[in-house]
Amino acid sequence: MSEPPTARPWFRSRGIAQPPVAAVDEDHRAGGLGELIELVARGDQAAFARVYEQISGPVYGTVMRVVRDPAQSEEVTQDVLVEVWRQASRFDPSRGSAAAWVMTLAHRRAVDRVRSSQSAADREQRAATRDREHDHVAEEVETRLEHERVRRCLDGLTDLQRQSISLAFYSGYTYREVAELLKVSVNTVKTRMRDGLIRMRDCLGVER
Amino acid sequence: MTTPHDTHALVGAYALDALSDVERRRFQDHLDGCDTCRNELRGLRETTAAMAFAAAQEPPAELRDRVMERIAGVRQVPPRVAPEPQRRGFPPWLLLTTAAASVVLALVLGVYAVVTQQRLDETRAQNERIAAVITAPDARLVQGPVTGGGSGTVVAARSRDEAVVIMEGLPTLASAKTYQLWLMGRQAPRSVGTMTAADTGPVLAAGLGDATEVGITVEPEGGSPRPTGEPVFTAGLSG
Repeated sequence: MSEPPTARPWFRSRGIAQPPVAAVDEDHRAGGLGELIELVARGDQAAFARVYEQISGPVYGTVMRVVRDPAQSEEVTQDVLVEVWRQASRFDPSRGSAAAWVMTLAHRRAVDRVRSSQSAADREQRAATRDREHDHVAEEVETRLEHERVRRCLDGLTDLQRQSISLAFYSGYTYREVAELLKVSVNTVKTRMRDGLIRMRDCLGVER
Repeated sequence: MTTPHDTHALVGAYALDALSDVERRRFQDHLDGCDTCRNELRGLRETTAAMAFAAAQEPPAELRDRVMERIAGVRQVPPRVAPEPQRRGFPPWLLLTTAAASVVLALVLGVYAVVTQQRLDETRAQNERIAAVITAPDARLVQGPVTGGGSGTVVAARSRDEAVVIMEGLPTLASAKTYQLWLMGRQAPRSVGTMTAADTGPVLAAGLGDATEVGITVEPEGGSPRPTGEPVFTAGLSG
């Protein structure tokens, strides 16, 4: 009801100077990522080379966070980039930015990779033994973030919101695993993920 | 027990890819019927995209060449298209007559679509004329076999003084030979153009005049001023 019809993509806000951000500024401007993807859909390999410049870093970085192993991360990154080429015609600007389209693809691939390479038992085991590690993991993620804005917005969350989101997004855990790690109920975790992300969204979009 | 409300509450976990496969599928089903969820999800996806960009890390330099090389050999999926609208305005005979008529129509329109896309300006006028011939009220269709293999279809419209010729399954000729189309009647045969086994029309034959037949002969490459052999195909132009 009170939801805005389209949330403002974070990178359209002013006052962002870092190179990776400037590179994806304004999806649909001439030479913007959205426009390039449309050219790619028509088989334009030169346009794809420019898309590569803009997204290979974020894709690789995100995949690395989740997968950890550099060789496997490279493999997943390559798969994702080839998928962007292959499926470019399916990008629909009315459903979100090109950056979100690419990153959704990338993150899901990364998560699928780590989950398929582990049996359920392994995962339970990992959840149990990582019990003590989560603070460290979350902290590492937060301090190494290259993007000031995102870090600042993460800082604005409650501990539980931030840990839930970081463990899910940057470490690739399911919300049930996150609940296990944080010793809270699954209902609490899924609620914190949602309200935490909404807060992040407002922080990234509203702040100028 | 899962209520719709519980399902909706999973939108955050879904945006973070933190659902199991089963839950993910169930949530996607839920999304299909929930505008509010899709709107909310869109904003959350932009948020996670920002988190992804914040984690950017330079990939190994050699990855670029490998990816560029890979994509050159990967076919892209075509865009989704809306179902074609019903075509209108075809004369009753074309809709009601033999299956052959719809086959030729499909062939002609198929080629029409491809050619239009590829060489829009050069061929548009020609294609419009072809379409006009096959949709003319007095259009008549004749089919027949080709000596040596294949078959041909001629749609002629006297009202337009034009005919469309389209062949199918023509045998490949020796490289120094070509198929040549003629308008034939009381006067000397008049060339309409040439064809190969790979390019079998549609060809527009303009200025039928008093010609009574369309014929095809095999001629030396480049065509001849007049037929040098027996026709391998003929079709009468009625009316």
